[in-house]
Amino acid sequence: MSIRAKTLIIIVFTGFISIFFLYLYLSKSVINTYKILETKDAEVNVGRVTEALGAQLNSLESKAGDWGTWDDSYSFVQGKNDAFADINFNAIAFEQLQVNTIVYVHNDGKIYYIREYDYKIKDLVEPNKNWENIFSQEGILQKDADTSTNGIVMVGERPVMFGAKPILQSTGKGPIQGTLIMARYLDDDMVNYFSKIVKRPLVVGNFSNNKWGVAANQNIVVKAVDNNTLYGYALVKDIFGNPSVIFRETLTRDIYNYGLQSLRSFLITLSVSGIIFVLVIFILIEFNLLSRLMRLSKQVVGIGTEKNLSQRVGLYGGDEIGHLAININSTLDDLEKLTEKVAFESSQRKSILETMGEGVVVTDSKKQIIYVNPAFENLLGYSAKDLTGKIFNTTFSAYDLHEKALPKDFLEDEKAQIAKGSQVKVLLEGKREKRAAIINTSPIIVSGKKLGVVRVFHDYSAELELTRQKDDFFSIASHELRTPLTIISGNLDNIIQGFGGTKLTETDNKLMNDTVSSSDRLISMINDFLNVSRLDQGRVKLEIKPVSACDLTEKIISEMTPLFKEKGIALKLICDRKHSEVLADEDRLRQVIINLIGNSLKFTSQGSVTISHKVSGNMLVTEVTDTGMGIPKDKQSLLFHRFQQAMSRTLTRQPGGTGLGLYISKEFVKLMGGDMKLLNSDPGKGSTFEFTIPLEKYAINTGEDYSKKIYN
Amino acid sequence: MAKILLVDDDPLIVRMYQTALSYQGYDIESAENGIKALEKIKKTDFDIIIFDVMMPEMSGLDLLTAIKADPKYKNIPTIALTNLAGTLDAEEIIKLGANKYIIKSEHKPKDIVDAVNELLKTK
Repeated sequence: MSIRAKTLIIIVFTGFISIFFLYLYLSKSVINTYKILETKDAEVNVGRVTEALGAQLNSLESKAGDWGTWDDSYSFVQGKNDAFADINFNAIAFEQLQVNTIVYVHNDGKIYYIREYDYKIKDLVEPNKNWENIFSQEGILQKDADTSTNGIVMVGERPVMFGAKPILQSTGKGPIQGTLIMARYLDDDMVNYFSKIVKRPLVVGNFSNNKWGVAANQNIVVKAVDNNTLYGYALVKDIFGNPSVIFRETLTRDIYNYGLQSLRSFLITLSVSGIIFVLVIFILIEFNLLSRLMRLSKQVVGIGTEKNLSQRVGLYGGDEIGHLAININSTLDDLEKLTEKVAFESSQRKSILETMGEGVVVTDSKKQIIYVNPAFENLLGYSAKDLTGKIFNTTFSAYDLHEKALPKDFLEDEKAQIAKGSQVKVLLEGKREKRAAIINTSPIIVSGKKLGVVRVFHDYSAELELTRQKDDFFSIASHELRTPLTIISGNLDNIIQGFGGTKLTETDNKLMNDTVSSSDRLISMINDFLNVSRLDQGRVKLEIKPVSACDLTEKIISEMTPLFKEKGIALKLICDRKHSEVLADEDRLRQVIINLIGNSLKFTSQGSVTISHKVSGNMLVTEVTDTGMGIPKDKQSLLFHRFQQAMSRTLTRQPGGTGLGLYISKEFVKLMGGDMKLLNSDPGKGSTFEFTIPLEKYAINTGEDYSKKIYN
Repeated sequence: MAKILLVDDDPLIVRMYQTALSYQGYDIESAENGIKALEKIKKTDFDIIIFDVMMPEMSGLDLLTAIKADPKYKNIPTIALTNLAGTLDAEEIIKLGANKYIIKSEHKPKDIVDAVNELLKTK
């Protein structure tokens, strides 16, 4: 939903709700007010009925007064003036007096005289019998001269208005001879008369057959009938204080309807002004905010979809939206510059990756290949399309350089090679053939999180092939050279021994001996070459078993003692027989010890050579110390390298050799689980070499990774 | 005098060892491979058999196995000849029944003579 629609909905909704509640409140309170007004008005109107009634009663009372305070009446009630009644109370007199009944009552409550007139038939009628019972109650009969009363009394079922006065002499003096009562029925004629006075329809009913539900304690009750009509009830009590009749006045609900009408016009005004308010607010928001925001949004979205960062937002104004536009533009400036820079760098990187000779593979955090450069495609023969999305370590099978399959997880990202950032040399199964590669691996780490891995593959196949050819050459050449040399050496010895049957001269013998020893040196050199070649190809098989280093060294010393004696050099052994049991290949260990002692002998012209064995941790440490010429510092680092003889170029021809002895010795020691180093050496003072071999009780199985095949 | 069978495919090697051993007075016969050697063993009773490990047709190891499998010949002392130390398991040859093994390039013919003398002495 757009922000415009949302705003509109919110404003309209709020306006509607406000008007609704305002209306709800006003309708309640205003209508109530009008209803109260209406009731008050009705009460006043109904009050007029009782006023009219009161006036009528007063008139009856004064009529009773006129007739009661009169000597004629006074004597009449004493029975002294019987003609009085016939003269005065005829139809004409009733028509003038406008009363229905005239009653003379003695002080003891007995009716002395009663006459009744009916205005409908315009004649005297038989008086209502029920008058006889009225005067037993106190209230109507007058006891004092100066009193009088009026009110309503129920005569039987008929309500009667009356006025009562004591019967006195015309001078107003007593004694009181009785009470004169002038009465008028509260009949339809009277009601019509009252109705004319109050100018409203009027009905009267007895309280005893209360059909309008007015309670005895209510004087005036107002009840709405419908929207236009209202009944006002007035309850009138009789002279004894008992509810007697109820007037019902019919009123029109003008006030109420005026109220409704004004409320309606108020609602219309409210609604119209509410709509205007909503419109004005919306138009203000629209012009100041919404239209500009929409425009800004449209422009930014446009820039986003077209990916055209050279576009700018066009929107002005000193308010926050104007500032926002300025900020967006400045961000776009930065973004444009950055994008250009990134594009340049990315194109530069692409060129580097595509032209470099080394294969590059990038994997993501799910180990899936996401990039392969052309050099890698060439290396294994798979196209980038084939490889993208594949899991790197399960796609390629890896082998070690001796074509032995490596574990399936060898190329796993989590392998140690990555942590170390080091290289591994492996053979990889290509589309057509296995290729040798040196893999350099580096994790891509962004803010501490590994997002992937970059692998760089140096194609090493040609070098490996060359190495193989060299090894093969060494192997074949050594083998083929050795047999003739063995025969030369053997047959020369046969001649020296005289096995051919000839006795040589002393000179011949010396010459023959020189030739044999040269031939032997040649054989030992060839054996060295072959050993190196086999070490390189991993084809050396060790036979590891417990060997007593002391026994072995003693044997070697006894064999070599003649050579030392010849040069006048002492040969010493320091050894603790109890702690000299090692796990080693006896032949190789012998070769190593002979090599070190032989070297010492070679480079020592006087003094001694000492070989010592001691235990250190789980290794037997063997040191060979001489008092020879020592090794210059700058040559020491070359010692264990192939074809290096630290002294070969600095010395006279004296020692000689292939320069492979130390290299082979160190490699053998390493294969047996130990190591070898030059412990110290001072030129002119001597050197100490040290090597270690695992002790037997800490058996570590080494050499397991090497082929058990028999080579010859 | 003791009879010795010398088995090697290289006639020069054969002649070299034969010269040394004949000088000691031993009666030498030679064969160029295992098959020929087995034929000779059937005809003649030898006191010692010296054989090269690496030979065409039938290798020295097969020859040794064949000799040791036959009750008639299994007690004849044997000496194995090899080319280079470390490549062939010496223990394995001894296990198969050879009394000695000698690396040709590291020993002189007279070492063979010494070995033969020693074996005949203990026989």
